[in-house]
Amino acid sequence: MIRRLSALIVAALVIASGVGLGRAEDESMAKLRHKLMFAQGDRQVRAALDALAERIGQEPGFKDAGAFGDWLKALPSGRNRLGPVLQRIGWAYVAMKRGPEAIEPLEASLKDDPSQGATRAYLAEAFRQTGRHLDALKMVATALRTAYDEPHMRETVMSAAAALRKTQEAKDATGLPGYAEGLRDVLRNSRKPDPKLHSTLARWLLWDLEAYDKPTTERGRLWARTAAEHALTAVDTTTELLPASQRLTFDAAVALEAVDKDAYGDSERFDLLVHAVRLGEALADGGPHLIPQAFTHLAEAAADEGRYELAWRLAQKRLDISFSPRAVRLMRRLPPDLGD
Amino acid sequence: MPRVVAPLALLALLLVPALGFAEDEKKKRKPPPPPPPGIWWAKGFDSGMLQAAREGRPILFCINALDTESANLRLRGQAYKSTAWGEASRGYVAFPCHPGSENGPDGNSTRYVGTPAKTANDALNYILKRFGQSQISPQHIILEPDGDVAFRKEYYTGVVSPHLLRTYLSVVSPPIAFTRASIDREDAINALAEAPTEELDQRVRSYLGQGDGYAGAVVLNLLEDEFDKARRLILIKALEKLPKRQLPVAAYGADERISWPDDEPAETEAWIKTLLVIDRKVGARAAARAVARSEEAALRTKLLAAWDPYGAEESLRATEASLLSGHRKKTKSAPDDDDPMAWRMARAEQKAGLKERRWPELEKAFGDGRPAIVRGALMEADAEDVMANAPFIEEALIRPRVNRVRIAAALALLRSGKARDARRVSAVVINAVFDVVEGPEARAHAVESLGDDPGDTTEGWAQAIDARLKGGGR
Repeated sequence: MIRRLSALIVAALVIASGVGLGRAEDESMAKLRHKLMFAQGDRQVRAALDALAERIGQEPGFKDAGAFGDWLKALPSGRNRLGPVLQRIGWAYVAMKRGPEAIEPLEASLKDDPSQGATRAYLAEAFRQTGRHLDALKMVATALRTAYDEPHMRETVMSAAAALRKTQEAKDATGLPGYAEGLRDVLRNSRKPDPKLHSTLARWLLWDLEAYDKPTTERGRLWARTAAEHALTAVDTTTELLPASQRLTFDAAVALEAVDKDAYGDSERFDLLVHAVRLGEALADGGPHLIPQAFTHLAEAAADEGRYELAWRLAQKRLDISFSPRAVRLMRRLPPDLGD
Repeated sequence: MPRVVAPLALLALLLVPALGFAEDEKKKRKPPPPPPPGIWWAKGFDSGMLQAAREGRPILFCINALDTESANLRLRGQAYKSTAWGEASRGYVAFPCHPGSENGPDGNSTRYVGTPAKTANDALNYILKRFGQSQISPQHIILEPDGDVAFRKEYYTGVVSPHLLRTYLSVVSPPIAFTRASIDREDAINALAEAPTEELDQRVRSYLGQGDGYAGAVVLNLLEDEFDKARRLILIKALEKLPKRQLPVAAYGADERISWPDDEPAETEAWIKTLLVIDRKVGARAAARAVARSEEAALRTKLLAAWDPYGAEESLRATEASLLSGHRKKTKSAPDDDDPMAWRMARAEQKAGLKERRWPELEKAFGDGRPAIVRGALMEADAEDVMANAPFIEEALIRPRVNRVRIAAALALLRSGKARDARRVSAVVINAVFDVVEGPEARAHAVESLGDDPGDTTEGWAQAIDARLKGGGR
């Protein structure tokens, strides 16, 4: 009862304030329109657009961003073809998930000023909403090249990449899967590495490798190498201790075994295993380990590099958790005097 | 009256939750129904695999995917539900592998009672992914705790039996076999423990010849409770009769004596002789270790002599083990060393199946580009070499990704006492010193360069490194 009453009071207050504001804004709307119609130069146009955009949801004609976009589109005297106006129309449609309608004004705006990273980011989202996922990722990459890097782009990227993974199945790819190709440019152009994006890409590649290929084929090696690179970037650029990160580094290292062998150790495998062990120790913090095998794998890699003391120490740590025939086999290969 | 009511009310208030608690406790104390006699299947696939790795248990996959196959029907209907299979599989983490088509309304498999259908399905998918899409059913696969294959037999020919499960438990997980034997072979252990000393050898040997999969584990149980030195030596010697397949149990039992040979020299010698009889290679390896780790010249001589009957290769290996030990301890020369040490080292490493370690000169190492070579060369380069190759090393310090090379470069620059980017050298060295993986080795190298160990604070290390690099070396 009390809840219903308070809801009624709040509703009444909102209506009352809306009516009051509406009356005041009728006058200012005309002024704002006038300002936009006679603004000189991009700066004035943008200022007028900003002021108008503040009225979204407050004016009868601007019930949402889409209506605002329609209103801008209907402006006379070529005002609706000005670069900043086109950009704002595109933004308004994208915000209302009317992607297909946003593409034309945004592309036209880009022609007017290709340096606008924000326009590129909106266009990327418009592409995504239209189902053009690869174009969306490519457009995000160009936006990043202009040094425009805002959090909303991450959603565009993640959704487009996930959709691409569904629509272009990795098993049909000749090289990298479509989503990885699309994300490559995005990640390359990011000024600040996004650990989550890197780890997602690495994880997808490892899943697809497991499902559709083997780490020994040419394509499998490419996937494994790419996954390793991104897994390492993901853990190198975050201080978060996550079991998923440990699993990722370990799985990436295991997938990279064939590549590492061919490259005589010149791969990310050793460092990935170091991360897996390091994360494992930190996560376990004296408790049970999530991936005891990480010790054995790193011990073997260390032995292959002639680091016998390290190999012994890691194999011993594996045995401290539980008995491991693999660790015992390795210790038998090491110089016989090792140990405390 | 209120004076009486108040305490009573208080008492009642105290008693109500206490009674409820007692009721809960009663429910908790009620013993659960007895578990089924057959195999106890793991509840979840991922949790089961993790349990195996954490507890050092072998993993048993019972691939039982076809419904119409008569062997499948017999295995799932009779064998897997029997007490014999159940007891023999207790040390394992066991999965039924089945498409999971026989789901009950609760999500459990109606075929493997109490097992979530998803677990059976996940296990089958794991096997299909790992061993190929066309799996013969029925078949059994045993994996080691770290996932390596210990046993695989396509199609069921009757080879897989409770006996085989016991044997493979001994092979893959001697500590678990030891525990299982203490339960399942309690009577045999007690009977052998009561044997008079003069009969002990013959009775243990006879038991070992009976083909019990837990034979070795039974003897380890006897050793566990035997404190008479003479009887202990008899038991160790009797293990010569252990079937070769159960060698890991003997090696597991011998490990402590072999690693600390001087604690009980007579037992060490007995273990080595026993291992040499069961498997020459493993025995030779154990002897090499004991020789390399013994501080007692007399024991070393004795052990070297013990090898003579076992051929030249093992004897050579023993000598090389002692040389290797001398070299690693930075002893300049070892007795009877006619060959150049580097050559002998290489041969010893080759024999141990390790890659030969010969670090080339620094410039060549950088040209090679292999992290192991570059790192090795950097770790072994002296201060003069480092200074002569400073541009390469400064470059290695900023090389992305290959962290171990970066650490080696920083340690090399610290050794030379000169660095263009002293702050980076300091940061890399400090990170390495406090790292869980690189720490001990990095610390030892850094302390060698600094002269003293700066302790356990990063500030102390920063100051010491700063002083060293500002001083321009010693």
